[in-house]
Amino acid sequence: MNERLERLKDRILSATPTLCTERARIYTAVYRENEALPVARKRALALRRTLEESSIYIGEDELIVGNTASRPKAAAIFPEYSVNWLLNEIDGIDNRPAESYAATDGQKAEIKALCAWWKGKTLQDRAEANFSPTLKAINDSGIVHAEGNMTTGDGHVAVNMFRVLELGIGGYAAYVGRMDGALDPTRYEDLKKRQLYLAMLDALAGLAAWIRRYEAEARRQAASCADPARKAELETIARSCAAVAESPPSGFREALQLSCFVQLVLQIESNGHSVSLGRLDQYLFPFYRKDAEAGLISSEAAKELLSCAWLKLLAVKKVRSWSHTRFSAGGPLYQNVTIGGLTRDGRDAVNELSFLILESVGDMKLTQPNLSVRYHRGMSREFLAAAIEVIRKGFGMPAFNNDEIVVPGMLKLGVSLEDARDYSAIGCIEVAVPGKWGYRTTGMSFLNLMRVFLATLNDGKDTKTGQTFHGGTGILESFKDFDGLMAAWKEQLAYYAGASVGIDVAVDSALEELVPDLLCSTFTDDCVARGKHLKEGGAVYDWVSGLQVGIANLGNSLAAIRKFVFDERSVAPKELMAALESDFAGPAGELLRLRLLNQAPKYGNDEDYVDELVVEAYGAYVGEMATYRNTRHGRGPVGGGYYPGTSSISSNVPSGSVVPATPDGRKAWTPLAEGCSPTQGTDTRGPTAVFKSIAKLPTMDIFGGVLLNQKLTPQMLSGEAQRDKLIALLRAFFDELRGWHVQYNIVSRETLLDAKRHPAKHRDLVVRVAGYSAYFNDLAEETQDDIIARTEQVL
Amino acid sequence: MIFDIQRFSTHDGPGIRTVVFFKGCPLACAWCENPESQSPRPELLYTKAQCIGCHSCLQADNGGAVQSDPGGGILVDRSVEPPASLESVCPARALRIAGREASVAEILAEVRKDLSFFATSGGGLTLSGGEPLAQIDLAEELLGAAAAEGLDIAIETCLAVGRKAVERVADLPLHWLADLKHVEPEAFRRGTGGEVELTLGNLRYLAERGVDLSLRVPVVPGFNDDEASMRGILEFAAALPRPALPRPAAAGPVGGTGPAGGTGSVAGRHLDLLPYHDLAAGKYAALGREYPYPLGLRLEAGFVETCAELGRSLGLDISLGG
Ligand code: SF4
Repeated sequence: MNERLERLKDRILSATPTLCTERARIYTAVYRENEALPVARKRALALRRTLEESSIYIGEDELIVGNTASRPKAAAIFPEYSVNWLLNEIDGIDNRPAESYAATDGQKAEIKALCAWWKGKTLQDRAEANFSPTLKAINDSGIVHAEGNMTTGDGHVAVNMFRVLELGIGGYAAYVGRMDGALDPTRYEDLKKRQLYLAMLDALAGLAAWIRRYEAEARRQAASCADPARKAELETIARSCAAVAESPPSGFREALQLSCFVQLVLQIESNGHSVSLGRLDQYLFPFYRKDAEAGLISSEAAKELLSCAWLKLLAVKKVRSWSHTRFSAGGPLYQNVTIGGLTRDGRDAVNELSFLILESVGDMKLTQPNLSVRYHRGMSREFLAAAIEVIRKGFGMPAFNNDEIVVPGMLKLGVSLEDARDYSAIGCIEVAVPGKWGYRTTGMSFLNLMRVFLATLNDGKDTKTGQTFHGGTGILESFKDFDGLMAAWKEQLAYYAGASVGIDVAVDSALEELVPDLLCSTFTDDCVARGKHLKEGGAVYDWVSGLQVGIANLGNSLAAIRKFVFDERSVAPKELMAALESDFAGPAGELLRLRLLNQAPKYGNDEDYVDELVVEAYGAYVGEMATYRNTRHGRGPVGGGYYPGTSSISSNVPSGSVVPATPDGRKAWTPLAEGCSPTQGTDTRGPTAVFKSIAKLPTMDIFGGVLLNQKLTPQMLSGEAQRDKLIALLRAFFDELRGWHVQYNIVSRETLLDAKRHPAKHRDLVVRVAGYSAYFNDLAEETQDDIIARTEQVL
Repeated sequence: MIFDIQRFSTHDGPGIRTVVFFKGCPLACAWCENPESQSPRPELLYTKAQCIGCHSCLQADNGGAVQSDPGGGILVDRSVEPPASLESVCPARALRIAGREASVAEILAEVRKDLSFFATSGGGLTLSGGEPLAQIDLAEELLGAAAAEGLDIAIETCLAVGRKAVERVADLPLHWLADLKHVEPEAFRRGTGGEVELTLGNLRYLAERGVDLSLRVPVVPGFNDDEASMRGILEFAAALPRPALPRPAAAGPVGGTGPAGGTGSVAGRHLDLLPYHDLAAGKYAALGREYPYPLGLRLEAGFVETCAELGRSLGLDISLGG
């Protein structure tokens, strides 16, 4: 990292997160002034005016420019999504246990005033109005947690950056204009399309104007700049901005700058996180190669520009409600960059830029972007070794996705071979074909499997709230054998799978009606061609998944019950139920808890007894979801369905905090297992056994991602021989066992304990929190403890 | 009799390996880090700190191996052989039985679980202990069966066994990882209770046969952490014959693409210096034994590095700590 980058990094890391009211102010004004307009046009106008009028800045030392709010690490407000939580929490927003935002009294007052106008008009209000009383109760109970989707929108998308760089903004405007010109004003559908096209044109005009403003700002600063070196840099910035305001870029720097503008503007337009950059090493490479061959850019200069881009991503903040914050520990935006993998025609896609991206991310050690490497069988040892060099730095990146399973999995869904090879990670581990896939490839809606399981033992009664949503399946005592329990589980699970889809449909239709996104739709195929925005079915492909939390707990609970209650008959059903209800109170309760915990097989140890139960119990969900359709089904996209997903983010902690004691020996309100990883501390047979257990799942059908987090001590990566063993471990997991994903935390337990005691000493300690990286200091204490407790695999 | 099968071992031969620990050892090194490996009989390990005093073990069929301790917890009667079932009785994982009979078929079934990882890493099965050659029938059958199905095989041995046992497996395509603790008879006897000539003779025998042989030298304070001892060890190692025989080809598993094969590379005989640590003290307590070696002993800073330099100057291929 050179001095410029060090200064820039330090400035952002030491900046206090704040709130920015400009967007909310402009959106509110535009909505109020244009009540008669269709919602798409209102939103386009609001975006345009925001881009024309909100504060922009070019900071000292910056080479790549752009900002989503008035200052680095300021979070814009999106009142059209939800205001209830904001009104409740704004007074204490600067005083939260984690993810606090400094806000002045004036800002708080302004936000309250703006929110007052929105009350009753937001996405959340509409979504809740769509709920049946039962769905509302289920959502309120926490068995399904869809808050993020209702309060902040979908996200989880990557646009067609290849095409953006090919056409430029002006090219897109011309394309939309042509489509608009071909409409027939006598037709109803065409009238609707017309509104969309007008909105898209407004949004594109706003984007071009925004970029021109940076050009002007750079020129203004250059004019008064006394330092000739900086003056030249500012002039270059101005030229780059001018070059891409309408036309497509010609060089690497302009292409990167335009990609950044698009990435940032998408996060001004909408509030869903995991807006991702897709295959950056692929779409920027032609520009890099051309410049490098002409001697216009060195690899060092390219790395510096990339690093400046990462800092731009890091400056973006998103303020979430406190309850949603707990599901996304560390306040991440999950802006993913994917490198490696296969080309559209099936060759190894790794190029020089892949290495530069990898190295620059490793040099910077930031929490953004979220870097994913697409592994495939033909990946060179050299590139894997370079990836492991970055992993060694101990900030949890890059994560690996596996082409050997994702590509065939996509084919199975009906994606074309070329598109399947062109997938990228979105957010953390989930995947989509960038620029062709609808919103929310996965995420935002959580199903708490262990609440459902406890209800299964209690004739459908939710033991936390006392409500029965689906009764009549029997209590534990009434099951004649284990199969009886499994059958009841499947029935309950099917019920809640349906409920979660019901909630999803309610929210999706509200998203479609109230918060269509114009730029994101413009840049995603085939929205323009179809004249439909993303939520209307504009994308080429459209599948979504919610996330299921507590998979290891489910398998371990079933194994414990099978062993003690049905096989050995050494624990009476009543005894177990009483112990669960009392949270294993008293010495007898604790004894039973230890038996459940220590004497029954645990998932993650390559033991079929329990692994097969996970496969059957969770597999039932896989089959169930395949029967549902999302709101875009039959409206254009290939697919229109659901699949399961396990990238539970840090939701295993808050999800556990609403679950009473469970039969795997887990105490009430403690974290659940994350993703598809084993329960903390129960995988005692090493990483190969964990991999084998995971591989028994139908990973190809769990298309929302099969998350596996492993922690490795630094010692294991000392020396080339050990590193080669890690590469061999990965190759076996991916080539032979068809693993979906794995990521590594390389930190010692001592380091983490010390970081908890002395946060100041570890300001840049980054850990992988289930699918993304966050600063350890930013995490809530319970999440810190959870990370410390995870099994440390000694290599 | 074995006492453990450990998957994903990365310091016991090439690649990713599964290590089978044999129970029973002809030596009794005072610093042994696997004290449960020494006796050829099953032993009960009791970790008092984890015991919750539930007395489940007292109520179960325990063969008299455990009794109530009026002071809390339990007392272990070491004169009685614990029944194998006792381990699974304890809900707190305070009891562990080290030592069980296992058939070759049973062991290989466990080893095969990691075939995928052997294939990509060039790894395989390693016998360790205790001393695997002390149970030569089991060792020979297991290694032979493993080699026959194409597994890469290795053995960690102290070589303090009769030549006959060594000969019985010497033709197998083994990676030999042999201990070389000392070359002075008296010091060797004092530290390990064994006769050094047995080990040195076996080493020379194996070296002459040209097997893939690499050496492991524990560097132990108060035993061999002086210059004279280490010089003797390193010179002995450097002087071992290295006939230019083609090494028996390790029957690599299908598709092995990893860094397979020879630890005895052309660069010089491989020798690994293993600095002593006293992390095993807890295991001694669990066995009801005093830690026989003085606690808190440390190697002088830089000593191991000096030895490494010396070894390299003698033409050895030295590595540190496995
Ligand atoms: S069963 Fe375990 S925890 Fe209970 S008394 Fe015996 S050793 Fe202690």
